[in-house]
Amino acid sequence: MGMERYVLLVVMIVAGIICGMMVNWALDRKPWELGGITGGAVVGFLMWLL
Amino acid sequence: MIADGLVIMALLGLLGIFFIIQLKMMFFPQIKGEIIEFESIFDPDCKSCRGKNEGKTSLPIKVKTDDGKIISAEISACTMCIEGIGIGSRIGVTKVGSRHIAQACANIRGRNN
Amino acid sequence: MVIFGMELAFIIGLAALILFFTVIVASLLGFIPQDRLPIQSALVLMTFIITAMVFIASLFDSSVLQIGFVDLIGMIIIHPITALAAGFLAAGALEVAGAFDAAADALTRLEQLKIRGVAIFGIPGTVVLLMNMPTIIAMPCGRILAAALMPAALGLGYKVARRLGDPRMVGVIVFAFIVNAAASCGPSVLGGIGLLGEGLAKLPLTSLSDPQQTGIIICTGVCALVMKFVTPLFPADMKKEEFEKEKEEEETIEVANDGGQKEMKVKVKEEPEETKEVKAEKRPEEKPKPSEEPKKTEEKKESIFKRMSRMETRLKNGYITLGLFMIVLALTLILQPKIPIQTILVVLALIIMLVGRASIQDLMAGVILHPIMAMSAGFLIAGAMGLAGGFDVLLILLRGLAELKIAGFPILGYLGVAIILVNIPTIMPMPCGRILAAALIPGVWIYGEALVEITDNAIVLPVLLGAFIVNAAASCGPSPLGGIGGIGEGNMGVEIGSSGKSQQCGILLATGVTALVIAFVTGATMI
Repeated sequence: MGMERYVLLVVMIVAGIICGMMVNWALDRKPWELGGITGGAVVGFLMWLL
Repeated sequence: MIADGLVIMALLGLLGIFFIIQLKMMFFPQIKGEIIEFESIFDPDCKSCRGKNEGKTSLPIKVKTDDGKIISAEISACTMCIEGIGIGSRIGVTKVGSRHIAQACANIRGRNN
Repeated sequence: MVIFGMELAFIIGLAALILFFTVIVASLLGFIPQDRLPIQSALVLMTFIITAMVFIASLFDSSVLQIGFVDLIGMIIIHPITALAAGFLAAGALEVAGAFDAAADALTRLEQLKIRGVAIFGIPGTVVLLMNMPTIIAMPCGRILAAALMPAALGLGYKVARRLGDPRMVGVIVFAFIVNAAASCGPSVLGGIGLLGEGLAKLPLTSLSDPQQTGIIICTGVCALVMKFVTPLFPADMKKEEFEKEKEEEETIEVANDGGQKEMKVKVKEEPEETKEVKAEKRPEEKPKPSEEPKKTEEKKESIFKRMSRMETRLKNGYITLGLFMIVLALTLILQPKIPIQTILVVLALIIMLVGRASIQDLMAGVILHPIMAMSAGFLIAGAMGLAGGFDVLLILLRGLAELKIAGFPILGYLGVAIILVNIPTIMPMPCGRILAAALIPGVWIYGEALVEITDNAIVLPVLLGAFIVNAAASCGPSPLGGIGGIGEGNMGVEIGSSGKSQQCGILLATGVTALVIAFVTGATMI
């Protein structure tokens, strides 16, 4: 796997975390709460993997 | 290589078969009727039980057949959206395997008359 | 041959283009009633008209006929259509084996997952995973998972709404989930729209998938925020009443479940008409009467156990098949074997059917042809427009628009026109994104090639294609002609089209983010 693939992994996890923070906010919680961040990171990783 | 070619041919053949089945379901369904209800797939009061439709890619409906019976069937979400099917739409129901599949009933004058 | 100062070939190409856009706009505005002549049929009709027009004109001027383009279209048709057919086989096998059921079950359990007493995901994490599930397990048509996971989305939505006392939460969760489902057919490896762009521009297989998925993740979050703060489904002042109403009913039910011996105190409250209507839509089933409560609780216990024992094998098979599917897909993308995706999917479908003990008949019942027919209609009209030289005329018009200046300054420029071009599917949203994707992708490709020459930057072509495809894929969500949004709106009893704007906001951002990821991250592998 080239370097781009790993860079993409980081980008997608960050995008997932951003999404998680947006959802936290939409659910009237603090954007940096653990649940949304974890969920978002997992989402980014799974999308990169599949 | 030959195997890949065979797979492509088999898929094209299968597409042809699916197409014929769909045409049969549209023009010569086993039962014709009208949709009277989109069954609720979710009970907001049930805290632990799961939805009626969990995991199925089609939506459950209740159909009043032309001879007055009320039956349960399922309709794919694609059919429902793209064909503009709602309560009162004419549909045809065909039994495929253990499933009753509803499809838009083709009509010469209008699609969902 | 010249008529009114224009070449006949140009006139025919222009006429084909005008006919195509007229049909699209007329269908959107309701001038062509969809129950009499749906858009796919209208496009097929246009194909015949345009082809006839071309052949008649070629009798007067042989340069009108542009055969070369038809060859190109022919080349790119077989691969996406067979990949789509294989994708539906795999999706059907997964459904019958209970894989989607297992996915919904896994989400429910994830919420309870704790490490040292700390909820790792909790409700927000589960919501994020649920909303993005359709793009994680990207199916060839977003409606597959939209329908399969809709009960889970509604369940979670109501749960959150109750906890926060805010009924708007249901809309936030459901419609963000729906826009994700709508867009998921773009990056799908199972015959997704991305294959069209990859085939046309000879890009590596699945190279457009990851950038699209990144865009879709952001789109989902944005849609949730817009649904919450800008276009909520219910007015904010309904909040308190809903919460109070919910609390009262919760107490009533709990008393009954405690053995049914305590007296039921049913609190009756006068509801305003609006709330009543919304409630009626949300709660189609009647409440059990107090005297029937103990019996119903027992019956419910029995049927839940029965359901659980029946469900266990199906869930087990579901988990196994879902796991198998994800492993095979991951390995395919990592190892990039020289086996066509169709072969992999067909073999996977057969294995899933064996493991899940699914019958071929049940599988065939689950196959839906609408996306294939929509894509074929798009290909047909693209072929006709190619034959008529419509894309050449499109390029001339786009160039003209790009070079339009006021007081020496370009109004749009080439990039401005590119931005409008890639957003056309969402400006004119069709019930299936494949229609415009298949119909206009040759035009986008031609414009992309021209832009590469002008900017001397090869990355422009994949950027344009990727952005256009994700936009096309997601465009079916907000479509007024029968988009996926309708499933959510129907289930929640709200007006059709009420979720359109939030989805379109999300899609705009998805388009931009996809372009950025291709430009700065994955582009090097594509050129």
